[in-house]
Amino acid sequence: MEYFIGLLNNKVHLKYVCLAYFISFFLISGLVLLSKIRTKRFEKEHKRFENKNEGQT
Amino acid sequence: MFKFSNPKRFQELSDNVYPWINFLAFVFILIGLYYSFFNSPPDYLQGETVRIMYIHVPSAWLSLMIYSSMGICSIISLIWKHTLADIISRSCAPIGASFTLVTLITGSIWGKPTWGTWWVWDARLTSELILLFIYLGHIILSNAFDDFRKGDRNASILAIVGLINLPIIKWSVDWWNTLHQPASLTKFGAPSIDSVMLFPLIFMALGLTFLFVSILLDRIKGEIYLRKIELFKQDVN
Repeated sequence: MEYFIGLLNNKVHLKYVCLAYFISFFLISGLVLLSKIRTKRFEKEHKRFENKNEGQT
Repeated sequence: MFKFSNPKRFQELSDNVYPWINFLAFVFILIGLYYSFFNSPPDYLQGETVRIMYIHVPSAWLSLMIYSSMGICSIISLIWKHTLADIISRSCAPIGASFTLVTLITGSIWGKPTWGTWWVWDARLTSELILLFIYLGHIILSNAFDDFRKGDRNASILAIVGLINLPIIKWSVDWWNTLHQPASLTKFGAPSIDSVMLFPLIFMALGLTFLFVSILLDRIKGEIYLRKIELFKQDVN
């Protein structure tokens, strides 16, 4: 805890540390979210094609 | 091993391990963040900014590791024309590009208070920027053709040519006089970093590696569906 309080008290360095972690968090969570949306979209489309194909045969 | 190189079997296996990989990623990142902020002291020279290392260094390791995997898959794809190798290579590229971008941005933010500048055309930074361009080139090239096999083939050639950049990134700090510090962790020597800083670094590296595997499995699943859709469309035509 002592180290964390030390970080909070260091106003000059705190903004650089926060900026680095926030940007990393947004980039990585954006990647996770986009990948999930993309996979779900293809999964739905695949199911639609499969049902259509079963209907034809 | 070869049993799982079949996309369908691979998908069954990945569906089973996916929740566990997510769980491990979450636990390791949580422990890593706790150690990074609460249990790791400031550096005597860099002060509190040293905490940026716990996200910057694992991202840099991953950017190189992911590219190595892409290179290996591209070689397998060109020699044995293996579909799963193409799928893995294609799925790796956006993840690798994202981690390279994280490396460059966090490095730039770390550079401002320690070097006094956001960016310098130093060998390590420039070669890492080239890696980002190669990743982007791979993404563009693999999607540039209507026939995905053509895209995969061209992107594989680019990935193999780009492998030359990896030793340049790794040893640039030894070959040239750079602002960037040399490696603190080497394969053969004892680490020049104290264990209190080494633990959060290792935990974050493990957590981000599991996160990479989790995203990769998700993207591979999507890519397998996409190829099945393409086959359906071809059958209809």
